[in-house]
Amino acid sequence: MKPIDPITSAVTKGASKQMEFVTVTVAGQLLGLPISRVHDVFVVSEMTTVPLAPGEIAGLLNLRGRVVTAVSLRRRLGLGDSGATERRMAVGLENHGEAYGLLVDEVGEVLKLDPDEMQPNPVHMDRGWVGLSQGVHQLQDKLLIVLDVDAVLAFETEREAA
Amino acid sequence: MSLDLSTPVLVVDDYQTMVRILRNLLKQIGFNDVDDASDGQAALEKLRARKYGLVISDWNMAPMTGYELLQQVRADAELNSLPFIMVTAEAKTENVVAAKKAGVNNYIVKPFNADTLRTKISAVFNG
Repeated sequence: MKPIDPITSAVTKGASKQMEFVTVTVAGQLLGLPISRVHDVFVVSEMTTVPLAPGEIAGLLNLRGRVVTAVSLRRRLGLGDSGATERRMAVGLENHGEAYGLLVDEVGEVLKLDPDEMQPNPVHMDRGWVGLSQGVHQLQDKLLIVLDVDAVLAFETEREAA
Repeated sequence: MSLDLSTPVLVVDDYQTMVRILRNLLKQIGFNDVDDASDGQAALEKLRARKYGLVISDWNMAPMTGYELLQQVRADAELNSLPFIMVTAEAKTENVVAAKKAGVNNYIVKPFNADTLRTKISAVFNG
């Protein structure tokens, strides 16, 4: 796959075709969320755990009467919790009118990438990850996995179907 | 005041990712003239150089905070009627009260979504 320099790419190809992605990191892996699906980035302060909730749900955030479901992207990707006790970052998303906070290790910058440069998922990618990925972008020094937000938040549907 | 989507909007935040997200949300709402500044001082310079119709500013920034920017804007005869919305992670009553006293038009507590942003902006322009 041809490496892409996002900055040079943005300058030489023009902005109209580019898509913006909010980048996040989980267990050292760079992942991208289409900016059109992201409405906020925030620090998680207090979270209430939910007994018997699906494992992907880390808890509920009750924000002035508005309930936001905190979903662990680590668990959604089949990874264990980081055990980190420092501040937890979340990306605010919505799906079918429900508010979600997607817990990630870190939130990075916004990258502009050309959709035509997106590659299919690598053949060796974990099956669980393939279902959550729209494809990948090979950046200069790392691989960016483009997350399918609908799929990431469809864990309950998956469970019902199983 | 009525809401005009062609009005220039200035987004002020020292966190570039949040600036890009806000710019995108404003674009989704229909605003097509959105500019940004990375702190209160830079915002003040832009506000004095061009006529904006709305400021959406983060509270926590350095060297000049959003609260200090608000105070400066309200103390400036040329800018004191400029609609100003504050975005903050702090829901503390004393902060809300301080911002209200300083003349903020509306206050958004994180996390928020496009609908909240749209509603808060509409409330500023439509009362």
